[in-house]
Amino acid sequence: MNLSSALYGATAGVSAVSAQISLVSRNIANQSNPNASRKIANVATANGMPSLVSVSQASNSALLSSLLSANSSHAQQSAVSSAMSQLESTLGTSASSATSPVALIGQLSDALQTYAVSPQSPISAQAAVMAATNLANGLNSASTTVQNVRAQADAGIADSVAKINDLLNQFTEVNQTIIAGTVTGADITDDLDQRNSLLQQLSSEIGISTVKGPDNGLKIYTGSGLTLFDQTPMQVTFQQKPAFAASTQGNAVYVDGVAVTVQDSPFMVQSGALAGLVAVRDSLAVTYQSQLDQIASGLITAFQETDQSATPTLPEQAGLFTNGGSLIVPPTSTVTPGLAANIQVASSVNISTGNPSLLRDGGISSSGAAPYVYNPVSGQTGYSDRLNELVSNLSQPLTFDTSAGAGTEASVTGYAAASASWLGTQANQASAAASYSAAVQSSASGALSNTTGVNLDTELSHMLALEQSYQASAKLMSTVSMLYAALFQAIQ
Amino acid sequence: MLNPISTNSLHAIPRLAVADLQSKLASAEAEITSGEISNHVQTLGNRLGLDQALRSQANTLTNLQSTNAVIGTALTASQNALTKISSDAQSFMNTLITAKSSGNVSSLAEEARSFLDTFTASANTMSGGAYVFGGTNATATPIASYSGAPQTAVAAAFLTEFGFSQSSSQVSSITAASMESFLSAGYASLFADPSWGTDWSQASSTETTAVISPGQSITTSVTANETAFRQLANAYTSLADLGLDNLNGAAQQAVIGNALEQISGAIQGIGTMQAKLGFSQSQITSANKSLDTQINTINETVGELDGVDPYEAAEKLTNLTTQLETAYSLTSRISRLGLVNYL
Repeated sequence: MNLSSALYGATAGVSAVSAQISLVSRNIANQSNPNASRKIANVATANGMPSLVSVSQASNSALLSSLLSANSSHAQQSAVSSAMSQLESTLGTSASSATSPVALIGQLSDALQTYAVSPQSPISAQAAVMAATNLANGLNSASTTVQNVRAQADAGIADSVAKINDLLNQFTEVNQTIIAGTVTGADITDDLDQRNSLLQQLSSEIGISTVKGPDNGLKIYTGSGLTLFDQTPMQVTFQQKPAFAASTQGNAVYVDGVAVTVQDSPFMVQSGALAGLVAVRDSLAVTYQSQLDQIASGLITAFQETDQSATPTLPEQAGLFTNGGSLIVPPTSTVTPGLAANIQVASSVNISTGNPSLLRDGGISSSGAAPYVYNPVSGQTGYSDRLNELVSNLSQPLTFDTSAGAGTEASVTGYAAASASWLGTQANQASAAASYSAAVQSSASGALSNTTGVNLDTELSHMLALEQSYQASAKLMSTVSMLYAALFQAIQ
Repeated sequence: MLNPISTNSLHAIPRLAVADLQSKLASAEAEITSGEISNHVQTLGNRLGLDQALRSQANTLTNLQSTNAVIGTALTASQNALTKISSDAQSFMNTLITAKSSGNVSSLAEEARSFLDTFTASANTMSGGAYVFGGTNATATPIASYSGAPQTAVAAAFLTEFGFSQSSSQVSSITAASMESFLSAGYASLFADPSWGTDWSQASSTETTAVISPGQSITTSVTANETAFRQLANAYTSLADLGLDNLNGAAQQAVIGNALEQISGAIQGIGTMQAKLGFSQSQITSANKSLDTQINTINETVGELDGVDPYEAAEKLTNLTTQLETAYSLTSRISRLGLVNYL
């Protein structure tokens, strides 16, 4: 042992401390980056001297993978929930607002009832036709809303697919850097952070699972087991539809040529924004549209006109409400796609160009010609039987299609209420699932951040210790230097 | 050694709490202002259909009450008109009884003519744009003015029967027997179908009906084709336009006798009609009472479904405000905590 080795030791100490201080400052600098993990200096003693051999990071793969799955279901539920809140607008903005199908049907029924006690009044006739027009318009605009929601979901799918492809490409690069760095022993901690952050973003779009290779490289699989990334990214493809109508079917999303958005397929995406958007586009909105179509169909049936001859031979014809002007009465027992978009009030009762009093006399479908006229004596303005019949028709049971999901035996009013309940249930579930998944996501992300994130106070106290150690080493160096100086003076 | 919590999540906790509290605060505010639950679709869920159906039903029942008011007005108008017709008939009958015993018929014809016009006016009473005695033919005048078709028909019948007009001097030669036979045959047929329908009345014999509460339908009018109306037209016309002043005493007695018979029948008939309408009126009153009860029950249920207790909402708001203030002060305290401030 001599002075030189003391000086050498002090220098090594200073350099090891400065390397650690630089790591502390890196940690502090990244403190506000939620994806950055805490870096740990691994200091080893070689030949009795300290030196920084490697940098590692705080990590927790279990917490990361639970965050990935929480991300996926959170993104899925928020996609559904935000689509639901748009569909909810078809039921009115508040409980007392009178724009839901149920309320509009009620208003029509009330207008008919008012007309029935003053059948001679042209004002009452106009009010009834107006209420009918409001109802038809209400169904038309509800149908438009539903199709807009589907079109938005379709556009959302396209965005999601583009993002998945982009993320996979970025992932390829980072993954390669990591594999190369692992081999050469370089500091890859920042790259690992970046890769984890890419995984988190990817998991928001589509549910994933990962498998780590011996070279630190990752393989990514979809929740249903399809390979999404293995050394190279798989191509995710999707063709967006320009416009949506009730009968439009959206295109499927393909991962490496396999369709992943087909109902009941084993490869169906199970979580992530993609799964939520597909559920909205292909299931929720489609079912709600069917229910609106069924309400429209029920209305056309309730207001249909029958042959009034003593021995009826002619078929029923669409009365007050028609399918885009057609006289054919669509059956209620099967869904006619797009009926809610096409339902309209017959032009023969139009307030300005037609004769609203046909509502009282019948013959809307035949412009007042026999045998569809109900009023037995032409021109008798006090005839109210047909109007009373129409009011009661609205509460007569009809048979609806099971596939629309709002029951089979119900009156039009009852069916509209059942449809509202259906949407309410879905909205309720979606909102509960969304807030639950948000809570899970937030706690998973908190748990990961707690374990792997940077604590300023810890870093600062660490810094204080390093500062002391640096001062001691520096003091040692200056002491050795003084000793040398004393030695040299003695020699002179 | 205790694992340190990351500074990032330490700062995130109050931040997330504030965001959550603010959204709850917004919905609590909305509930207090509107008195209804916010986010009604999500909150009511599967009870939404029930809520909407009940609200719609309450509107329908309220609407029925207002349509019942319209029917009630028409029924009151009918009752008033019938009361007027009946009291006129009563007073004319008294005049006739006096005339019959005294044999003094001066001014009787004029009086009868004026009563006939009053009767026609009452029978043509309107309510809400419809003739109350018109049956289902609501907008056609039920009883024609006497100076038109009825007068022509009476004159023609008279001429056919006796071979001269009512103003002829030969009228005095008509015997009581031939007058009686005219009154019971040729003259009476003017007030029977089909002449009544062509000359006198445009009313439909079909009475109007209306729904006054779900599933309950009542008759809301009597028509001008009822026997009582015909009898009154018969009586007033016979005195007004059969040349009464020129008839001999016996024929006059025959005409007055027929008229008395007709009027007393009519008064009885009007009583029956009034009883019928009165029954409808009482049905409306009881239907309205039951509608009131139903509306109250429904509104209570609706209130339970989508209403907000203002006290509870206010308390919730106060709690949220306190929590939010705590979160704010926590944020400021946590931001001041840090080793760096003490070095």
